Amino acid sequence: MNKKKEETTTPEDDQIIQGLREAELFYEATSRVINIPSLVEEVRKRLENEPIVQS
Amino acid sequence: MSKKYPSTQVSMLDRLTTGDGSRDWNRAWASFVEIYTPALQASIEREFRQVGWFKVTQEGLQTVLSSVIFKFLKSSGSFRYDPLKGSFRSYLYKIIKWCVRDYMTASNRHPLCESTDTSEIERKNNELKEQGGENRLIPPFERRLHPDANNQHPEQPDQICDRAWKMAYIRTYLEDARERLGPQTILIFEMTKVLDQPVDQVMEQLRVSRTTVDNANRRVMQLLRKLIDNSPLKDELL
Repeated sequence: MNKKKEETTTPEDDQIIQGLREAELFYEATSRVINIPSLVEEVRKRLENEPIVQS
Repeated sequence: MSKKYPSTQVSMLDRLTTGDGSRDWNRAWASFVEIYTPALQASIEREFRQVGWFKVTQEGLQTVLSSVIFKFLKSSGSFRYDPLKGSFRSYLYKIIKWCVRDYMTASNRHPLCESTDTSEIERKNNELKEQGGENRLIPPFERRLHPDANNQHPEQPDQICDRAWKMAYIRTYLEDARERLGPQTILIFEMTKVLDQPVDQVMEQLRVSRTTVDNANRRVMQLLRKLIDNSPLKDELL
């Protein structure tokens, strides 16, 4: 019987995944006081009023 | 080819340096805001503390955040990386310092609160409410990050900032992977690995097979490893 090869993760992989999980926590901590979509909208309006001019 | 940004020369940030208002550029800066806001926010709060403003209002924080992002985007088209001038993070720190000082000058008032104690923040917020003000002081980042932790040994602002920037860099690599591998592959990875949802549930929700899930996770991990391996930040990240 062919045994399906188990997916293996290295300690480095675990650190990357852990980092991404922590990033979610940071995002939540930020979202408690800042509405990020409305921040994007605010910046978009400022860019419309003052477009970037290439030098 | 010269690198425009140190340490973080991945495609999302590279696209930002064009500063040309194209669709690609617009997508890149919106992603930048989403990914870097926590790190910028932690750094802004730290900067306020360093100049004696132990607390900042929600309105103040949003104003400075918006100014930092706007100034960065305004300069991103003409910004050229000079290794002698420091890292991408240092570059943004300089903008943060200017914006915090501009805000303090414009608001022309004394620090609202000289302590990070939760009780002191509550007392000040009650005062502000009685005065009819809409602004509210916000708890420090470390309290928001660990709302249930006791107050004995809160994480220091410098540590919070270091972690927030590392998280932003890792998220940047994931965003770069999303561009290369497609949204569904990254979604599978995020659901199963980052959010730790049961594989069977993800298979059912996305109507994909177990092989698709395994392949997606393998491909994302391979690419993330490659991106991080090629990053000068590797030692800082892991």
